[in-house]
Amino acid sequence: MKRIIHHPKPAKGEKRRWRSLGELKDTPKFREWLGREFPAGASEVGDTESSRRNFMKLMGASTALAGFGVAGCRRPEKYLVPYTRAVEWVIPGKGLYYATAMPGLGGCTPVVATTYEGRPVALKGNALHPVNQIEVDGGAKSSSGTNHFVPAAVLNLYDPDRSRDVLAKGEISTKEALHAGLEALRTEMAAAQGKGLALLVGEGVSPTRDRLLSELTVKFPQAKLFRYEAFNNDNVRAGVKAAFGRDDLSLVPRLDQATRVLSLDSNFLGLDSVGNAALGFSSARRADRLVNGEWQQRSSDEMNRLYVVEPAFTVTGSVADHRLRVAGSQVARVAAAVAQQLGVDGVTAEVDERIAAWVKPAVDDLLAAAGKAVVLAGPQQPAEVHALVAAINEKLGAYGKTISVVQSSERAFGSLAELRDGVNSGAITTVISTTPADPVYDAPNDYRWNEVVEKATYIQLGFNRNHTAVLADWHVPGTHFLEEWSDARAADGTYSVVQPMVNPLLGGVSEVNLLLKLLQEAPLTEEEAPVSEDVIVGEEKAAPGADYEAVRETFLNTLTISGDKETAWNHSLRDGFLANSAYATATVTGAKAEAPEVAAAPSGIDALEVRFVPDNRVYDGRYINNGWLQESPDPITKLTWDNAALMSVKTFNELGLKEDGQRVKLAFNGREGFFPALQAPGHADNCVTVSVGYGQRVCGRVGYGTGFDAFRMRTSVTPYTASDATLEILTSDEDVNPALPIANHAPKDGKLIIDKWSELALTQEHNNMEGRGLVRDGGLEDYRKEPEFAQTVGMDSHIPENQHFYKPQGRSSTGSVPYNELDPNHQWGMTIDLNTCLGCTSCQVACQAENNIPIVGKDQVLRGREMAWIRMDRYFTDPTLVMESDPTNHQHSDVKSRGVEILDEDALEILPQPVACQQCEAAPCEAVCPVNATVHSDDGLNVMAYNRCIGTRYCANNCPYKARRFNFFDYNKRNPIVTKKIPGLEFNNLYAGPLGERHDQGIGNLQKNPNVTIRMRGVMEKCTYCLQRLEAAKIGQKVEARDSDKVKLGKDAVKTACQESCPVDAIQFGNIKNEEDLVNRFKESPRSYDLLKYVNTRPRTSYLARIKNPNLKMPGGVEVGTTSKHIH
Amino acid sequence: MPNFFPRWTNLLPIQIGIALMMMGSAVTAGLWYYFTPKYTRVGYQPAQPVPFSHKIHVEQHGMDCRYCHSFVEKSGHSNLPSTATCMNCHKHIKKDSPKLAPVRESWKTGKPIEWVNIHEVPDYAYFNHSVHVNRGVSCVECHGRVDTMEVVYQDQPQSMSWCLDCHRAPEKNIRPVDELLNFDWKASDETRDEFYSEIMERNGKTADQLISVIESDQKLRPMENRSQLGKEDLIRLSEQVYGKGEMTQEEVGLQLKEAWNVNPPLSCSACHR
Repeated sequence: MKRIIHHPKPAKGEKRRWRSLGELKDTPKFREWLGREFPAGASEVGDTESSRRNFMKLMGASTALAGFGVAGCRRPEKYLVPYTRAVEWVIPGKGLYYATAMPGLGGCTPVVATTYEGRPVALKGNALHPVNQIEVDGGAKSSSGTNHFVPAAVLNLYDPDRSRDVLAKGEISTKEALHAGLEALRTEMAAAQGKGLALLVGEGVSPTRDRLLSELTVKFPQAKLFRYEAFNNDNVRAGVKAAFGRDDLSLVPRLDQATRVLSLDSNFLGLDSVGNAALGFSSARRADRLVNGEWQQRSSDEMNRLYVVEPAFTVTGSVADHRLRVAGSQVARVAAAVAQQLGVDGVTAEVDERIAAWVKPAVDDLLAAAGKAVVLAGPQQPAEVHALVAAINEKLGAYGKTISVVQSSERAFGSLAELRDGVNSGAITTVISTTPADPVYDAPNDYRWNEVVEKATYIQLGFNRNHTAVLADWHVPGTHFLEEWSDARAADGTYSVVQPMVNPLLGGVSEVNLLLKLLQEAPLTEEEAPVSEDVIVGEEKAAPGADYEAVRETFLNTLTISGDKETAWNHSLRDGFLANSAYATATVTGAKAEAPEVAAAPSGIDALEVRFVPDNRVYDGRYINNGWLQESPDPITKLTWDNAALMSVKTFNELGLKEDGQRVKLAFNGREGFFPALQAPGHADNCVTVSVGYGQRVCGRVGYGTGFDAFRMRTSVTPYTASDATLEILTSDEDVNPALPIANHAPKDGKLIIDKWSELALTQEHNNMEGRGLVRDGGLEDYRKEPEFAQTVGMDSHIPENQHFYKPQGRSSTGSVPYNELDPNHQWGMTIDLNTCLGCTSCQVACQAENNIPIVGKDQVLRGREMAWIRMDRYFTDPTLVMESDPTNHQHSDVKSRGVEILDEDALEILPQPVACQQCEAAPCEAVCPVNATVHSDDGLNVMAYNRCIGTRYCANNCPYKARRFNFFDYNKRNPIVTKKIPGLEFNNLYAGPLGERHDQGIGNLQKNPNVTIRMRGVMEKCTYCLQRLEAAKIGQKVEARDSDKVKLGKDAVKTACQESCPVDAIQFGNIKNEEDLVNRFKESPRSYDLLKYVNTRPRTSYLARIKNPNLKMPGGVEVGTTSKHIH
Repeated sequence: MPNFFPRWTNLLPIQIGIALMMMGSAVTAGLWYYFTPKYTRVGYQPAQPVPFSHKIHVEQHGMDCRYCHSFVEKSGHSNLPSTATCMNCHKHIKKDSPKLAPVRESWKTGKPIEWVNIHEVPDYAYFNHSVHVNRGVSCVECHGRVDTMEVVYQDQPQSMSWCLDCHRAPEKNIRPVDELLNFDWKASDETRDEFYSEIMERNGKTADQLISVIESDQKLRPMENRSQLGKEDLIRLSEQVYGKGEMTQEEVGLQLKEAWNVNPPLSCSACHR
């Protein structure tokens, strides 16, 4: 008889965790997502006559098409094409690794690029680099983890829509014309001493750029320098200058030294990261340490405690032990209250009771840990707050301990406002812009940058063909950082080399080359010199380019190098950085600060506060055309392909909104924005947060038409926060006047139609696992008292001895050999430490790059067909929400009967959990495959033979973890972004089948990892533990062994892509047959538990429970981290 | 009604039917054979852009395979030589040979020579040369006597079942690593005395261990006084089992397999990723 195992009903006194409000309320829509993995269409052939007819039609069509295949009976002749002259170091079929750096705000990110035959295919952090090395418990530790922008950046290189042509006023021109134009400009400027010339550059410190700019100001003494990016460190710099009176200082937090951290609207674990902040933070976050192979709990003074004050949940806020939600403008008030309590001279603050009750115990705690405490403010907070925080940190004794004060070499630049004034007054006639920003689109709206561009001779160098590019007099296609020679300083000042992996694919020009061109007669790009017949192989040497020479010159002549310079240069190219080149430290005292001016808190729904924040995926809009990022769900909202107006559940209800996705009109000061509304539990009340970067009208095909532009609402007065906004629910579709008059890119008849309803591609309800105790957490004190608490949560506390779904040991074909003994040398296992996991989705993007996972487009995401192998679950939990009644029906929810009002948004906690295939030893999927396409390998993996798969999807149905993904369409071949139109019908390109448009086969294919099969339509796929890396490692070991028997891999010999990319080292992977492998220590941890252990699938991936370190004196402190306790 | 059709036409439908059936069977059989892994274009010998003769280069001049296929021991791919490799010698030898015109052309223009692919592994199968050639599988096992070929052709079917035949019983095809490039090597070239001395020395095996390999393979009753067993006992046992005269592939392969811990993977994941 079939045995049905029911999840137990929620019991009285139990606390709930949920992924969406729909789950909390138990809505019918949620139940549909829960019951069926892919609810929308395709999975059924109905029993009505019409659908039978449809079925016959469809079958008829595919039979007819089948005939086409027969013509290609003969195998085509294929060619093997070797090099004419072998390339140094290249071994066909083997990867080569080069160190380089990704420039950006907060210091460059040192990276290592994996290249195959000259194609960079993946990026990860450079573990050798000083910013990626810290000390933990007396031992050195390094990490190759990064944020999710780094693995995604490689896709930009191969973006078929990136800029490839020189544009003159939006029309395609030639390089020769540009060259002539620049030559003329140089002569003219040399004569005029640079009068009227302005250079506009981006954020970040590049010694070569600085040197060239200095030379430029010598050659053209009257030229002016400006810097602009939409999100910048201007406030931070101004704050530090106000506090210390010096502008050469830079403050770098050292979070590995801090045990108490207060973040004032600083998303330092996410977008506001300085250096590798997450690495330092996570090492101090550990709840236990390994001493001689045994786990020892840390005390609450050793483990760090994070206080966060912020308006909307960020990655940082989701990790917090205590979180205070206040409007963005009120963060300054909290900062003043903190300063007042610490006795910063002359600072007083008036705060309401709620804030006072929160600040008091928090500051007491910080003060008790003086010297080990740090306060961080977000770059979008005004300069006064930064000055105040500088004073607060001095009171806490942070300088030299938890913050290193360094003398940076950043040079002074003018601001965008000054540049605008210069152009408007006629003082500046020529602007040469190399900033990655797109000021026509993202500069404060009142600057009217499109007019500025038209007034001056505007030469723009840019990677994308964006709004500024099509208006500028000259647009020069730029290079990706993997195509250029340059250099950059990391957060701590370490000199890092940016070196090219490949020649500019589409003929881009680098910033260094453009500057050189202004300085001297130089070609814009390097032409390949023909090699003469007489040259003897090995003797010919391509002449190094001018950009290479420029970077080298900077290195040799401007840096302090000990020892032989040539050796140092070579080492820097190999390692990616120059050792001991960090900025000199400085000592500071006597920070001056004043009480900041604070606006009144938004009081009600008729005077809302609007916040403009960088987006977690497209940042300031520069990643708009990156499909991996667009489709990786936002860490907090789980939204893909869109931006939305986020507001608290309370505000949402008060405004009379009914459902997520309802379009609202946000208006203030005559500016309007139309966004879908989205409930964001834990958001500050009477506030709306919108992320910018979407709604671009001049961008590639991937990004076009996604989201709504929030930049158009922004002015220089209200760059990040605007008050007194009103919100109106759209009742009908509306024509919107597009803000930017861009020739050839305006929508037809100058109108933009905004639908009153916007379907949001939220993934939070997708692949939901019914059952409880999936994600487990606890307070530190509870953990110290009862270390193994996580192993007895929920059903795990009463698993019957003999319960098993599947035969526990052995399989028929091999007799009695247990699964985990087939290969005595290698059995793979993984642990994921939820204690440090941020839910940042870096692993997800790295996995996408490594495993050739396609994107599917918004339409398919809406149907639950996203392909990402790692699903980053995000659970909300409210520790104050206790089940009151003893519910009678299965999954009954209190909220359903009492409404969401009972949610306490102040107490909300977020728990992230990445879930991929668990590689069960007794895998339910294998038992149901009719064609043996999914089978168990000797080394304990649950493997997929794609070519055997016939697409019954039985395995996905039977997977209790919902970790399998199905190729409903040929996502890798057919472009899911395109919409097809035939008269009277509009449909996604995917549905056009073989008649559909293909992906760009040229440049787009170059990114693919050659070691992983590209899957086609009708095939199931899932996490393989990076099988290709495992096999490569085993093969490497066998090659090494040759005629000996040493075929067993050494300690921690393989890393998976997700593990490498994790900024906090939450993922451990290794051989459970090798006692030395670190993964075994983590498996032994008392916090370790298996997902759905009572089903007895014996997963190879196990999780380590999250530990919170609450301050019991805080409001609600006793409730923090208690939700797992009550699940049974 | 007159008889339109003569009498013999009565059998015509049956004859046509039979003929059609036979033709149908022939076509089916032909296609069947064509698609079968047994066929897999063994003997495929396309014309190459340069009439390169392995026979001259290897057999006459004694060149090592790895002079041109230089990364075969390091990489999954066995690379083809770059034009520069050809020109190393042909700048001096046969400078003006018309046969070498495409090579000189490539050298001049930088455009690579396009060699026609003969041995093709499908994209979803990841074959790795290095792990095979380093672990006792000689080139000749899969590619045949390339050293004697004027024009290279496919010698073995290289189908999945053919791969698995060897993965299931690697002892049939492995040889000492020193003999990998000796295409004339036969197991009978080895003498027991030398072979076993070497294996004992190189792999640190005792006679006892080697004896038990044979014993467990042949399901023999284990000898007694194991600690006193020496090489003489080993040779005696092996002559007893495999016959007195020459060594057999079975014996050589089995001992190497055990000594090197050769355990070819049989999981799908070994080749399909």
